[in-house]
Amino acid sequence: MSSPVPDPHLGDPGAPDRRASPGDAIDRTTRRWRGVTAFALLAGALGVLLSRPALALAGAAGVLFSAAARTAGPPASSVAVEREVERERAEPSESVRVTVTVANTGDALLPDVRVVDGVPGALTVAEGSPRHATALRPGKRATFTYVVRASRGHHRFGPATVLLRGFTGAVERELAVPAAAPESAGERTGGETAKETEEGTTTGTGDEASTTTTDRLACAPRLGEGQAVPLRPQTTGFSGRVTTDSGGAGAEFHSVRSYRPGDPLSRVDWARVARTGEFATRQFREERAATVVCLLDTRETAYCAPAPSAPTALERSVTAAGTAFTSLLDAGDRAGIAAWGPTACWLAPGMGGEHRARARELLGTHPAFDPIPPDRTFLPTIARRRVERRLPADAQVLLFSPLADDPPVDLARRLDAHGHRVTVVSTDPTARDTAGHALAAIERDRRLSTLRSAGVRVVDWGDEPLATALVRANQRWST
Amino acid sequence: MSADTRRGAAGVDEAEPFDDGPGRAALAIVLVPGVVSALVLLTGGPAALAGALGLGLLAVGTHHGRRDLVGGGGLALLAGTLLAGAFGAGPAALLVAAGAGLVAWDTAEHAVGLGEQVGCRAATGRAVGVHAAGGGLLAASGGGLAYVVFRLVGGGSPVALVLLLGGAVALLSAIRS
Amino acid sequence: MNVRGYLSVVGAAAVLAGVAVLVEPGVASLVGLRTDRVVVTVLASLALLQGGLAVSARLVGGGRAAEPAEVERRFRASVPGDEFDDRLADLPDLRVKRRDEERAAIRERLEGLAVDVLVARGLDEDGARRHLRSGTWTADERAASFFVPAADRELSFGARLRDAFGSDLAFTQRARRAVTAIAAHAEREVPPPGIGTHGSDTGRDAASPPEGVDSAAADGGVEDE
Repeated sequence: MSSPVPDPHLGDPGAPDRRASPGDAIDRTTRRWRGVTAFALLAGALGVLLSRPALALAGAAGVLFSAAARTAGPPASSVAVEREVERERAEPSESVRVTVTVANTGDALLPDVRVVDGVPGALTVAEGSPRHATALRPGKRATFTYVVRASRGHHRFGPATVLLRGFTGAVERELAVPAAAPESAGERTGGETAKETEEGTTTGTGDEASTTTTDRLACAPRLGEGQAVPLRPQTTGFSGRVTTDSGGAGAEFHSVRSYRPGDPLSRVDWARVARTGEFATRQFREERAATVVCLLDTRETAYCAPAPSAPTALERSVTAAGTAFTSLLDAGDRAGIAAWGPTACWLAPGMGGEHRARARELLGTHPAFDPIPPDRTFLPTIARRRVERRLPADAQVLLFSPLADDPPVDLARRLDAHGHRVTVVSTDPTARDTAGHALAAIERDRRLSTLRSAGVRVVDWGDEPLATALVRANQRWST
Repeated sequence: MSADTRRGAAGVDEAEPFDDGPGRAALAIVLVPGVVSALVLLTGGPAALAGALGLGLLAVGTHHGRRDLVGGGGLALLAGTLLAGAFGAGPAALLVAAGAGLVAWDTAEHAVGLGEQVGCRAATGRAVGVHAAGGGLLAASGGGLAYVVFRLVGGGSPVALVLLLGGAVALLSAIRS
Repeated sequence: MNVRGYLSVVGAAAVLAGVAVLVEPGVASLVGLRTDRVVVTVLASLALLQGGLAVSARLVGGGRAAEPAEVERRFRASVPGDEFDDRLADLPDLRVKRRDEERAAIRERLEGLAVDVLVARGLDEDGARRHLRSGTWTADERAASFFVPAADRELSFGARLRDAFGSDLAFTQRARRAVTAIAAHAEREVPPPGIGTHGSDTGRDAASPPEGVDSAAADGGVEDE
């Protein structure tokens, strides 16, 4: 981190934004009675000075109450949380309902229970609220529900944050309670099991236990929906062999040369023979299937975005990689997927329906492409060597990276030097609103120039659709 | 180039941001003891002004989730109680005004804190209601006890008062440290 | 028994004694306490002081309650360049020595980038540095003064004093202007600065009139502006 000023909350165990972890509660004194205490002291002192016994008495009573409230310790923390996620898999933008139940498993009244569910960081809440507040007698349960909007990734729900207070509210205890699966109706044991219904929410049934989960939601979008992308080895400069022998459907006519004994008669240009009496042989450019690896930059710096709530560069890169992958396969080339980041991922280049399905699942739910930034350490040299080792010798590389820092530039140049033609598809994550942002935009611009002058082709992809950016890039490359 | 126009395939963040105001029920629940306190203070001459001010601050503070306004409202109600006492209101009235004022402030501050942590889109009415009921019970029993004691004590000597106050202060200091 | 326990015992005893005296006034003489006005006033004043401290602490410290994360929305992504803005914003909080180092580091980074950008526009590296050091690379005065070494700056005494005692606002403003000016060059929105005597044609000032055109207003195209 570049900030030289130490974080004042570092090490403060009770800081408001510090979270508890399962089994490790955080107790905080809210100090909400301080004002009343102060007032009581003042009133009491005034009463004594002015010889008003009633006032002094009231002041003393107030102070005593405050002392009593302070001695009360944190409330008992016997709380259980159950969660039911309607489905385990969903398509992008689909609504998935989550039902949460909080139960008092102890034998003391919990007069002030507040719950914030552990919604995965990459999901958004579309309806309802993942938070709830209630009071629970021993054995009582309370249920609330909300709806999340599914998006790409394998999302994991975290433990629910439960805040408990006593009647005076002088001390607050924060717990992290992992959610358990709901018990089915038959397994509930005695005691009070009445479920409260809160304003409009409904209780969940245990009938669909087979398709519901407690803590995850996976979503693998279809790749390259409806976009015909002009991204072919020919357009990236690949030139195949020229031959007379091969050439079936789809072979591209190249040129004519004079006939040599032994040329197949099917390749003789008979129109010319009829016209001029000369024997000539037609030659075709053989389109050899290319091998392309879509390599994605999945380091923490690739999770930047032009605004805090905008799609991250990684998200756009994954979308672009999926589109490129299907286009390559549609054109008959072999495509693979790899990740350059703390978590490795490798799908060797191939073709076919099963290959496509595997790629869709990988780009959707593999941990390497998680929508949330990684916090594992990244070792650049090891990661690069790992990729270089597995790259087939004749493979081209499509590198998807926002180019927000220098390492991808080094990677592209090294791979290029190793004999793999590299094309960089770089989504633009920069903004221009502050000096720092404008600075980052200029630096990124310089990186694009550096790559281009080193002979690496770069597609600079901004707000426009990917197809438009690719067409524009093709035009530039062919002039 | 507006950064907001970046809409990739991942979609726009359409979620409504967390709304941290107190719920709808909170205002109604706070007004009950608040009005009681203000009404009692009407009998105390200039204390009526303090009562009205306190009630107003409490209402506005609860509606907008402002802890400082709520604190000011409670202070005004309690100060109004002091004023009423100075202008000769009876002990019963003082106890009711102070107790109700305290309950109103406690409920309002609780609702504001609840709003900050749980928000107004969650169902919080029950939580606020339970807290208010508990606070009301506490204030009623505490006030009753204080009334009984005052009746028994009558005038009271300064010594006793000093001892009481000094003892309470010492206890408080012991606990705070 | 520590202070805390001692206070608790004394406090509890005092409260009980006070209640006893209230209920039965005769007890006071048994205990033998003085009922001086002075004692009373002193104790009451102490209580007032305690009350005042509590009030001030409440107002300043505020309560501490948990602040749960905002789970309704997706996590907030970082924008490239955030750390630079943070560095600028944190400058006033640094000690003097550290602040000078930070300023120098920021200046070096911006100068490196400015040289890269100007070289990409056709200047050679030495020429670029010369322009930066003399402030002739941009029309914006405050941006221009950012790279000029302090000794060469023509500043009023007051401005020098302000700089010496670390007016971070001025430094930050100049840095921001410098970034804007560099961006203007990067986007080719402004003509490149005039080049030195051994520059190439590609660096010719675009604003200078083409040869052969009579313009009395031109004052020597390749001179520094």
